[in-house]
Amino acid sequence: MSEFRQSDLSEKKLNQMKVDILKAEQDNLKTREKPNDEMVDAIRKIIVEEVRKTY
Amino acid sequence: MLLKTLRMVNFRQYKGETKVTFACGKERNVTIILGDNTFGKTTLLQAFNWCFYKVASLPNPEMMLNLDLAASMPDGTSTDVEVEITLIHSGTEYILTRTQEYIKRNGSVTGLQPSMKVSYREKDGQIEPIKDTGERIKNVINNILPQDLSTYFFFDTERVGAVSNRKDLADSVKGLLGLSVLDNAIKHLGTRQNKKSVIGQFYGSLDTEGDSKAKEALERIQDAQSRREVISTQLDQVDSEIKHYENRKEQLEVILRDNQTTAALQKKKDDLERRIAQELKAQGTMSKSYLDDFNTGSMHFYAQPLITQALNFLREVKIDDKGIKDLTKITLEDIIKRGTCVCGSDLCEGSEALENIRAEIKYVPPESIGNAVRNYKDRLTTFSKNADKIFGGIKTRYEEIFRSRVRIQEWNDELEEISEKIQGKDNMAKYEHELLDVKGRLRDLNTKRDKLIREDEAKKNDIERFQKLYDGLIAVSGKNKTTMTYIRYAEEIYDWLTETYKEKEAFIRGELEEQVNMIFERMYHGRRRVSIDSKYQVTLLATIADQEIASGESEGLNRVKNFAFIAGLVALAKNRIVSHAGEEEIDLSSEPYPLVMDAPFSNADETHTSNISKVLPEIAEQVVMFVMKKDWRYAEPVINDRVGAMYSLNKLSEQHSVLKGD
Repeated sequence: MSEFRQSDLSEKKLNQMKVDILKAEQDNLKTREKPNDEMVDAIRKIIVEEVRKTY
Repeated sequence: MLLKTLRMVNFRQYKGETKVTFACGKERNVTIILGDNTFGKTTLLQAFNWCFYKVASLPNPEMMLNLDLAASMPDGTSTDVEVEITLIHSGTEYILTRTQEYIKRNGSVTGLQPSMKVSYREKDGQIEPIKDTGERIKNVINNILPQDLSTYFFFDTERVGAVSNRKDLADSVKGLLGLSVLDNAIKHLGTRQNKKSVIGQFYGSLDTEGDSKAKEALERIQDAQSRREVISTQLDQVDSEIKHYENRKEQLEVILRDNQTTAALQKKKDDLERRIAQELKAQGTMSKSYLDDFNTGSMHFYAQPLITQALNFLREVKIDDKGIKDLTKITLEDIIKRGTCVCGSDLCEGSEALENIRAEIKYVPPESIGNAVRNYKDRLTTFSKNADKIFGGIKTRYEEIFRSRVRIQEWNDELEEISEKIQGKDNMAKYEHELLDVKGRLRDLNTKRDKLIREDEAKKNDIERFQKLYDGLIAVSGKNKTTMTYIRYAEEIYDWLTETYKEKEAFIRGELEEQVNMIFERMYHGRRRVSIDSKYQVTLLATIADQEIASGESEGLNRVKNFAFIAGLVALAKNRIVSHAGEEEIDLSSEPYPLVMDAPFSNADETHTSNISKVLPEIAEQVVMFVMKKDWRYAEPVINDRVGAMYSLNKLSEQHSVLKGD
């Protein structure tokens, strides 16, 4: 993929994002509440917020 | 999901209140409802659909109210129709109630908009309604059982032709087996080339102002990616067509191989028909020549026998033909009268020459006809020679025509014999032509496929090239640092999801195929295997001469295949599917589902009925079957010890059926 990819990503943040994204998808799959664009926004938000967090 | 009860009030032919309590035991998990055709089995199945999704595949679907009641309602009054389902989902008991009010005005009954109530039981036993704020109730129902998956569990055997060949099958299977979560996440994260995806939007938000080269590179990347997406769709289409034609090719080859004798006979028949047509044409020409010859030579033809007769007669007759040919008495008398012979001798009285001429007169006409007869014979002979020729010609033509007729008769006899042999069998030439056509199409499709693959490769290279250029240009700007961090995380997650999906999908498909085959073997009393392709389409394979080929499917076999497939799905949906993110465990498992089936054994023979009855309760969490009494005879011995509830339908009239617990 991209050349931006480096090994300075936080494993903890990455795993948390994976869990949150899959949970969001799982919930939406059950309820079909959010259309595609809203799901895209929700996932963006998960990533942005997780990056901003300081553990 | 486990079904606990179904309660209907005035729903179609179920006048008044009807309640079914379903068997939910671990061992006794089967509910049987017996009823013959038109007794209301399908209505029971449709009651589930109506309650869950407000749809019912029934005649006159806008009238759910019992017709007896509708007819007897006084004008200006109203009556309710209600279907209520109690079920357990994810450990919670839910009560789903759909109600529709019907009002009679001016003798006509109309239904108002149906309403839906969903309640659940709290841990303390209290029933709490779910407040209907907008889409909430709909979402809860979708959460319990999405409508697009419901056809697999509320299964109308007679109406669902081939579940295992449905076009949306791949999506449904992914949903059931927990793959949709991964699939949707991958789609939403997307790629930088997809402007509407998470990654595409992150890339789009990078500040490329003032850097036209980066912008241009991004555009080139996105254009190339768009083209790749089109190519991918086209490739899918081409692959699907190739698969279709390859299957057809195999089928045609089997048909032709199995019918080699018929094909040879049909070829011979075609050849004979062609030869007969040619011979008839040639015979027409011959007949015309024969008539022409006859018209011009008829005199000779008819005279010839008479002439032959006359010549034979004249040959027998002794004729004194000492006379000189064409010499007559008058000629000789003229010579005597002249007094000098043609040889110059003097013909005076008493001369020897005169005596000789006088003697000659005795041998010429009229004193002697021998000479005339000889002349006549000569003429007859000349005539006869010509007549012989003409007669011979006519005779030869007639013989040719006769031989031609014999030939045609022989070929017609042979044709009749072949026709009897191949009567009722398909025309193999039709299949041979189709096979040629299919081969041509496959050639074209493979060429198209190669071309698309080459173009895709070129676009992929373009993307890589412009991506490197773009990354280099963007990386130099400090303003985009944060966005690039988001991108790195997003792309990392995308890669992880893709990898996980690939692994899980391959594993699940393999498991599903194994499960379906295992179930199919138990249900089907023959030797076939089930193959599941990447789009979850199911094909039955038979082994012929050590080769597995797609086999034909009878209605009964198709039914067994469908059951095996659904049972395989249900069995796999019960399994736990887990993905790991670090130490965190993400449960992608689906909920176990019941199987509610209308007329599951129609078109199945007694062995299949017995096999299906044995297998389904072992695999599904709960089985509800609406069965005809005639089929129950074969199912009962094997399923009886799993039956926890049994009802039978009694039809009182066309508008009134009653359900009785046994």
